[in-house]
Amino acid sequence: MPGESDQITIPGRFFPARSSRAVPANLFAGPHGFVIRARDDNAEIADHHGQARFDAPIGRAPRRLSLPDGALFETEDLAAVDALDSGSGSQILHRLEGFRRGWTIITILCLIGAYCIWRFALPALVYIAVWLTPAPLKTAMDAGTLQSFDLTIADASRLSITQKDSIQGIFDDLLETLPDKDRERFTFELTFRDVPGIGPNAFALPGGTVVITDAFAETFDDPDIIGGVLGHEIAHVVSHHGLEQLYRSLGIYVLVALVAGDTGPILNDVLLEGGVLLSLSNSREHEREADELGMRLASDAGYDPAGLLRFFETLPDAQSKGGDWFSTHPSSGKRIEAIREFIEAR
Amino acid sequence: MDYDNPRLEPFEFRGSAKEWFGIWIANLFLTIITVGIYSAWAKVRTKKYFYQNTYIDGRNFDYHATGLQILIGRAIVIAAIIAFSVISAIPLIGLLATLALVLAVPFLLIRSFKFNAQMSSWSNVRFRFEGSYVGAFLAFILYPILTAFTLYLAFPFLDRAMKRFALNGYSLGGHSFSFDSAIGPFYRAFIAAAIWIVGMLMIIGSVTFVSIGSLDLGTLETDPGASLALIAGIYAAIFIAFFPAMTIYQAFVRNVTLNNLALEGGHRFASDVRPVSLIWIAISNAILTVVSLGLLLPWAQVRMFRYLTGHTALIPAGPLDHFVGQLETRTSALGDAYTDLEGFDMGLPV
Repeated sequence: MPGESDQITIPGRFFPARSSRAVPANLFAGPHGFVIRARDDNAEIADHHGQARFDAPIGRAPRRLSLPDGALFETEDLAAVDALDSGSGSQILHRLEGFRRGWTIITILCLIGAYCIWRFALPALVYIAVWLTPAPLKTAMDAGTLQSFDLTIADASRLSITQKDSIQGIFDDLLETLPDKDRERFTFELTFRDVPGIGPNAFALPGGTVVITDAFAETFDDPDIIGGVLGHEIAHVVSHHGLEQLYRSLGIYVLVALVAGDTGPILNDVLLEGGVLLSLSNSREHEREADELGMRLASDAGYDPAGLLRFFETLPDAQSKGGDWFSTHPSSGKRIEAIREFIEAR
Repeated sequence: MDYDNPRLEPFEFRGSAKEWFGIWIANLFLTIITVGIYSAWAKVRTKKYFYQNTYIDGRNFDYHATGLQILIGRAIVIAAIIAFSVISAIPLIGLLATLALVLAVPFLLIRSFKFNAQMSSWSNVRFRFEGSYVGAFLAFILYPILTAFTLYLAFPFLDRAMKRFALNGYSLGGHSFSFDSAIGPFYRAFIAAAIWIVGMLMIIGSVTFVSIGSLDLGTLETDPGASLALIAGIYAAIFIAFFPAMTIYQAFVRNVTLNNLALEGGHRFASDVRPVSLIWIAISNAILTVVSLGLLLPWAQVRMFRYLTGHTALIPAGPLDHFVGQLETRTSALGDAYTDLEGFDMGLPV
């Protein structure tokens, strides 16, 4: 009702029910109701009891009042609407978002929080994800990976049956020393491939498939060395290293997307595909764990754990002969030291 | 507006990086201290900010979902994933469960499109999405499988099929969107990306041969730094070859898609995104985001969004005042949460 002193007038525009047509209008808000009149002829177009409740503010976007029949009143007079709904919860959030002086401290807190998530929440999530992964899925992942491997860089093995049998025998010996419950969670299978270009190498897939290259069989025939390396690979499987690495990189991708939002086309791909690529190589921590557990398995099966040491000592010569510049088993001095310590402690 | 000589009406983004940073950092802070629960509300505020600050013909968009809807949808999806994992451990039932999931995906995708459409509006009119299960099954299950058999050489056909399904399903206030295009432009985009990959790999290949020849292989085993640097170099090479190629493809395809998109009533759209500009913006955004520990991400997001909206336009055939929405039955956020997890985002074309 024009003339009342506690009434607020807000200029804006009015959209009829669910219509895209905008009509310049004024909203007159009083304590018990509000009226919307068209601007040009002052004709009344809406009349409501109850307070005028605008949608929550966001940035400096126009404020909107949604009417039950699907009509909409929109205004750019932010100050007037602020006067109307000061003190509401959405105003508090809006003020927090606009409180520039607080940005430094909030940013520092966020950086600390992000670090805590990376350090504590991520490993916990990875652990849960590994625990939730069913065995058939792990086996299927192995099959898929092996297939892509075969399609791209791997060829059928050219080893003789006797060569394969002797290595298979060592593999079986090592499996015997595993506790039953560990062995049953995976489908352990030793496969041989000829992979020109990566030299003597062995690697393990999450479901239990262990691949060993022809170059390895041809360079090393010492059972202790083979035992040490196969033990190391079996240790990777039993400790879920491959799966942990994969889930870690996926987890980072999901957490970043959840918390920070859209990272843009290229950074998105880097985080996802790049992260998965990086997860292919084990961390130094994982390598150390696999060394320890692998040597324990090897010695329990009756092989000399010093074999692993001899492997790393012989490797540089073997690799430069085979042109192996793509080293997937980086061996730092520290690692060799740790292996030596383990052997001496037994 | 002069309708005898239709003009390009560019979309307009009226937000600012400073303003968005405040909202973004508040989102981040609240999400961290609520152990991720606030992320549902953060998603709503993010979408509201970008939608409400995007204008065409002097009127803006809006997003209507509530944080609670998003949260419940996500909770249901997480529970379903856990249930699925536990069930899959049983051999035969696991196989059936996987089959059931494959059959459910088209249904979930349609629900997601429907939810996103219904929660988006322009000038007080909600969008709508209608799509058939069969269409979704073909475009998102069958064709991708078939495409894999062609070693992805038929990918442009798949891409066009997915876009056809998505775009033809949308409507605004009783007016349908329609998209169709010859396959040629899609293949031109594909070939442009392929040329980039091949070119980069050749350049990288020749550079690598030179540097490996001068490398002392004996040091690789005893100096972990060198071998790590080599591996990092190989990864960097892969990134330089492949990721910009994807951006090139997406830039070309976005232009083709929008240039062939129509809104019932004779309205058309236009897009003139330049691949080189898009790559430059994407790469510089990525580097600055990483270097700033993520703090420049909101600025980067606004920069990219402003570029895209600035290069998108409407060619109206008449006034845009006659769109009238229908009364909608409520759709749940379940489908939206599923594609959230899957990373699909086929909302508004912008």
